[in-house]
Amino acid sequence: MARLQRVRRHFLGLNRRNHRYLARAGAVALRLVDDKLSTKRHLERHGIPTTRLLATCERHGAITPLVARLAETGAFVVKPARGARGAGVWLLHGCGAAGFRVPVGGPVSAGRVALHLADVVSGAFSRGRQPDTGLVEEMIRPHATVRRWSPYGVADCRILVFRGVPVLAMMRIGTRRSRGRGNLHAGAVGVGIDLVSGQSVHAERGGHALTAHPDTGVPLLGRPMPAWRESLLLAARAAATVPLDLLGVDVLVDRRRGPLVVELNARPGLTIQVTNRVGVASLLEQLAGVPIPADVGERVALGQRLYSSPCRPYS
Amino acid sequence: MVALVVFVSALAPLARADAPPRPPTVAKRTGGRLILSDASPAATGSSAGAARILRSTAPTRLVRERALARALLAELAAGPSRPAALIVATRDGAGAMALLDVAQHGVRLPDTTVRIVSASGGVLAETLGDVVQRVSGARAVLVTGPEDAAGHPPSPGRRRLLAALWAGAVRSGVPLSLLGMLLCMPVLALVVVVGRLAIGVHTFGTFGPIIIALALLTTGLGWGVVTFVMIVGVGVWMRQLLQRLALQAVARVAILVTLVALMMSALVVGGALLGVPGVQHFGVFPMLVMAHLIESVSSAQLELGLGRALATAAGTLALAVVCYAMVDRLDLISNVLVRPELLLGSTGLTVLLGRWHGMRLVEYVRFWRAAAPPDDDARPERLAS
Repeated sequence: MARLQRVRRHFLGLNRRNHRYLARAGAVALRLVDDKLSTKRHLERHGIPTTRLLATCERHGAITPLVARLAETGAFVVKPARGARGAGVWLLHGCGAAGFRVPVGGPVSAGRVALHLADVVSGAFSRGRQPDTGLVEEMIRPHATVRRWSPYGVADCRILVFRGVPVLAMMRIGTRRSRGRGNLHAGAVGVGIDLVSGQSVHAERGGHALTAHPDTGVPLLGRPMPAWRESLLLAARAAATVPLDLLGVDVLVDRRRGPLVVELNARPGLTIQVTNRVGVASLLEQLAGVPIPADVGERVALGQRLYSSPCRPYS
Repeated sequence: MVALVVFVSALAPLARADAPPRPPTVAKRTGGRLILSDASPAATGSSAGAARILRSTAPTRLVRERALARALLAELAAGPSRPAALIVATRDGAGAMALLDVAQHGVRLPDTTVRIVSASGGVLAETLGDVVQRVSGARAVLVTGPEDAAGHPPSPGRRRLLAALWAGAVRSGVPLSLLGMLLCMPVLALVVVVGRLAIGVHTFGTFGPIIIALALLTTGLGWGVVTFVMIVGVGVWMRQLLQRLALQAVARVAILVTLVALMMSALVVGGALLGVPGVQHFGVFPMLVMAHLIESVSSAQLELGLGRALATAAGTLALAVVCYAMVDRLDLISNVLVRPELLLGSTGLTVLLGRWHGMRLVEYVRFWRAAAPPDDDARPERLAS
């Protein structure tokens, strides 16, 4: 009974997320965040480092020359600009004699990649099935720790930010089942990260706790994240440029360029509470009532203080 | 015991209710009793006496109504005599509505006394009885209640206006049961809202379970579920094969539609040839609804992966079956016609649920382990590096 109460009081459910935080969001801000291309331009305007865009593709006619060019590019990622939940994201690790190398399975022919881009452009993955833009981004070179964790693709860190204050963080590690993508729905592993120390504290996939990567057996717990403080500062800064209260900021740490914002999410998933074993509802309530400092460093410190405060549900 | 018992079930190929048959032109003798029944022959067989019984024991309320209407039309067109007494003895509104379906085709019963037997009395029998009185042209209409075995003229009370409205609709050729199905949708939408917001079931949109429930009502539960499963199966199975053809998503859906059309034709024709009951009366509407499903299945698979697509299909079917059961068991089709205030109630509840902030049922399960105190939980040990 006590646990039932605890779930109800401390955890954020979809109904409450939609009412409190999504329904009040402005349509303009939502459009900005829902389109990865406009998000990227917005972040660049505000001087926030993001992954490099190699090409965009809006017309079917542009696909064939683009794929020919990509065959010489090396590793890259194909994404629909208005996709959701990682649908239509392909990771391609350069082109060999047999075709493009993918994280899981045999090589993929150039024709297949072109077909996928055609699906993306026709809107097979976009919200409302509207015609969409295909984005081609560089594949970043991850930090050694992250590389060991995630052999199939690049693991990014989802940082939940409320009113510019980082609240919770989780690594999303691609698996064979998720085809290297970092989407928990697709079968990726979520790893909760201690907001203060940057150490991994708990790992989950599909409702089961894990201690090691399900495909490689590499231990996932008790590891420090690279460039942790910088990542939090970047997430807090990026979130403050968008007029939305609740945001999921996806951060990748490049070996040379350091933390980069990959994308923003106006409808952050709620599983981050499970991978951290922390309900976020009461944290957000507390944050709603306090003055938010203007300085980024103070905002991060406030988030860390809240995360480790004794009034936290479990705690 | 000279009763000529006409077994009416979907087994017997009967005149379709769609084509309005000409009212009997030959002046017929009036005589005998005709009973509309939904009970099995064992239950009523001996007590029926010298009466012709039109019977449908189909499990689905709407299928029962249609079978009874078809049988009644055939009987009035071809039977040896016009009945002097028509006794409507069905457990729900199916019999009275069948009578209205017949009246909608312009058939009148000037020499007949209609007697509506109602086990519980109540608003439903009184109001439907009033509509029957207004449109059937019967000599007399009587409602027989539990404490009134002799019967009395229907007294719809304040619902007289409503009865006049529906009678007008029937007289102008509006099929009342279709109207009832339309008016059921807000109540079913409430069921879907409860399923999605309070429980957390995944479905193909809000409208998906509703139209599938309506399709189930016209096909019957068994065949509806079989068709649903077949279509989801085709969507999932053929995706693997179609992947090799390297088609664009739009073309892939077109191929799937082709397959679904062929499959459903095979089901209907094959079922009819093999004498499987019910399939030949599927109709266009449920076929379209079911075929439309293939696009949702296909795009869900592309977008969310196989597991989530199947879970969503299962959620859609589950809610559709709940909706079906509600319409069927509670005879919602007749009830929304007689009690339109139900729509007000369901809309009010939908507004309340739409404003509700609470946890969904599945979220309790989802967050259950995460809400455990660290001590009494088997927390995986931290591995030393």
